[in-house]
Amino acid sequence: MNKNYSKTFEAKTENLEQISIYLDNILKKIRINKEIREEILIAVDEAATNIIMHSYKGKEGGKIRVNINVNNDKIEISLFDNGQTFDPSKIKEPIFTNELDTRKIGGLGIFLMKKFMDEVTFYLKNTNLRNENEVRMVKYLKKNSKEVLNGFKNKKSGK
Amino acid sequence: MALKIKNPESNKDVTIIYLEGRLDVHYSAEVEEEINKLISDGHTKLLIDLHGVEYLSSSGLRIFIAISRKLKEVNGVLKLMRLSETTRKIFKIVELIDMFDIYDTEEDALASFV
Repeated sequence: MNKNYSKTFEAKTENLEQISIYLDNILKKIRINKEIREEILIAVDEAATNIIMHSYKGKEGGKIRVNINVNNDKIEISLFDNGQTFDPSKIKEPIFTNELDTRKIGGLGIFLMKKFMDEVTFYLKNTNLRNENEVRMVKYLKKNSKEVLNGFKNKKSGK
Repeated sequence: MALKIKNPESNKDVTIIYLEGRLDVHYSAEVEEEINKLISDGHTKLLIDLHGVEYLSSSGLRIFIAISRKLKEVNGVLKLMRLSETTRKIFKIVELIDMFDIYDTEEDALASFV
């Protein structure tokens, strides 16, 4: 199996739900289970939020292109944008203190993306001849075989 | 995202806030503003029901931290109840699960307010 999907959305917070619905429908179609779907949806929502809030700084008119590639081994999702280069390496890892008063609020989005996906890579515009920013997120299906692959196996064996 | 409010007969000091829908960056600011208004109006014992929250992002998490801090300034209290499995998982991952009073039922949550 090797399938590709792509759709472009206006980069505004109202569209986060639409991105989520679009992706969820594809993941349901390829029979990814609920738990894994939810993890992927959270990661992608955080990535799209970063693009809207940081790359486009909340200004309207920008676009987010969502590319999805699914094969038997992995689901790879890329979000492309043409906004300002947002260098996530400058975002500090959140520090988890035991007190709410001293708890830093920022940095949780990228932290969640990394927790829920097996790989998260940022490719910045204007480096290596790229004319777009890209955040690429990968979820390996074999690594999560018991949880994820039931759908594929059932489909293959016709159960 | 919908927000419903109730002061239960059994404990009228407590304000229960029922959240429904997506708690993403788009709706978080709106929800935080509504809750801040309630606090300004003197509702300082808050119980937030997350049963209807179908999606919680990091922006949603920030609300709970911010509200908790705001309530502390006015000697108020924030408790949470009926978290879905996914919401609970997110609270655990970001190590917030032990920082909030979280209850499985409304009955238990209300009984915890003294």
